Amino acid sequence: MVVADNLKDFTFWITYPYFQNLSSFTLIFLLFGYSMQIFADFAGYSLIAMGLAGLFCYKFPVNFNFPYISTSFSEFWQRWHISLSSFLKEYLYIPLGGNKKGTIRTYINLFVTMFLGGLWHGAAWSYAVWGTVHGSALAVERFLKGKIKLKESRTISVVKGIIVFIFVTLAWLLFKLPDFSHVKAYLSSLKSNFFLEDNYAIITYILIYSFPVVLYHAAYLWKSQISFLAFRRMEYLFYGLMIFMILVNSGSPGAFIYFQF
Amino acid sequence: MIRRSILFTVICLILHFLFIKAVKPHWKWKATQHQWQENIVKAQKFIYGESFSKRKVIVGSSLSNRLVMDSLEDFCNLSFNAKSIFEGLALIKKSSQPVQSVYIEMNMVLGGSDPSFSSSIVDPVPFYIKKYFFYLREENQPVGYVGELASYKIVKPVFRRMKSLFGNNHGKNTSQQSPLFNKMLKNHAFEFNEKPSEEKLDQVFNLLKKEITYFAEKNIQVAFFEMPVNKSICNSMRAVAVRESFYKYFPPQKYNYIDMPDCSAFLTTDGIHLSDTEAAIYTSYFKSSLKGDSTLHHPFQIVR
Repeated sequence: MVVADNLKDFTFWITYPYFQNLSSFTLIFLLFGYSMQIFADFAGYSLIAMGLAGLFCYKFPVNFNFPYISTSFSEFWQRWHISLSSFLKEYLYIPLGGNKKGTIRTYINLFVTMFLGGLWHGAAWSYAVWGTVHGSALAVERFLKGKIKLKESRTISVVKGIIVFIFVTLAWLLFKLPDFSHVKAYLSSLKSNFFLEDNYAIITYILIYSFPVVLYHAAYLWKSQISFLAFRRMEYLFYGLMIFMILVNSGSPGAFIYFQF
Repeated sequence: MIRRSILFTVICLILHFLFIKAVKPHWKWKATQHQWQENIVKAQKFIYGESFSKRKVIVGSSLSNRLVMDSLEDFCNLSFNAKSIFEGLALIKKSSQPVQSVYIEMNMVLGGSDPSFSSSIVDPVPFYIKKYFFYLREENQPVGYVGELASYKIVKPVFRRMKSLFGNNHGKNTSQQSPLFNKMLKNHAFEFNEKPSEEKLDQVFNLLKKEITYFAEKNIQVAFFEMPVNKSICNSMRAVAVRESFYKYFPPQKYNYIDMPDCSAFLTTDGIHLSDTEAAIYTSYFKSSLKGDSTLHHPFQIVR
């Protein structure tokens, strides 16, 4: 929550009309920061809920499983907001026929499921478009999977991971700006504000506050390596630092992003 | 594991305390990270009495936050970005500062009050914790110190180098002649050309009246001033409605006003915020208005 609450005060600039004053580079970093914030916020309070439930001997299922390491859109949805994606799969996608009614129907089912999943977040066109965009990505991915066979290698996985992350991050814009005209204005500023001076302070703080989220994902990937054991031995330093940051650098309190849905 | 984690936290806190004590007084970089924090730091400095010698207080929004305070040595500026005047007034009421006079900005009064802002500072728990453990105050956040330094020493040079490699120049500051300025001006003009409803005006001005009555009971002198804005906004529907409401609720015969200078002399950066040079010009005008007449009236061309 320290990460999300601090990032919130920078991603605030993704608000119409303020972002129109910022350079394209700054706008890109703001989107990156929002991607980190929404994860830290939502995964953070899911963990708080799990911890609280644990105090009463209830074991809640994991809701986020390192989503930003996903190398495909289908993997992303198996790792992000697992409770919602499982619900959509079991109560929408499978009843619609899933992948059992032919190739075209499978694409339509994916599209419809994600469109309705988008609308679940609110009665605004931008949420519907957000769901549609993800539905389209899942359908295209499924189509390409059947056509192109890529050799498994670390480089290809990294490239795929980057593509998925960029796509997901751009799509968050529809979450942050539910008014579709503001999304268009943001993209237009992104395209035309290259001549403006970058706001280095915003960029720096976004990089600093996003670092724990990046580290969290990197540590997961590193987990299988033997060198990770040395890191584990120093784990207490990270916990100590986290408590210190809660005490001295906790940021301003704000409502959880997902409380609006 | 838990014991070692807590021990490391204590070590970090001690190091942080030592840094604040020994290094902060010589630190030349800005340590606030964003405008919300700047507001909080300013409010904390006031509430913890770090400006006790300043008995004249300016309350306002981001517009009067541009005033050059080095020229107004006797003043404390409680103007907050993205806030109205009510946050400053609430802090004055809740502080034990011996305030002599309050100068209230007229422009952004319709923003209403945000009680959560002042309560985040004056509520007993944060107030006393941050009063006695000063190193937990917002101005002492460690990331603020690291961030500003990293921004100037690492991020800025790296990005500029990267951009020059891609053939992009360093970028230009937002110029008053740029298309962006015109866009911002148009946005603000559109916003200000909407006349506020009578209910809204009554609600805000009745609230303000209550505040002013409180100050009058405490023998605190009150004066109003209007920050100059771009001439296309100066006499907009909203600006005129607000101005007229001020004169209706607080008649100039009874209350002190520092009249707004001719707006055509001010271009502003976005329609409503003065540029640094314009802010310096207005600050000297503001100061001369105070010196020129003890009753705070000024023989300048007025906008009424």
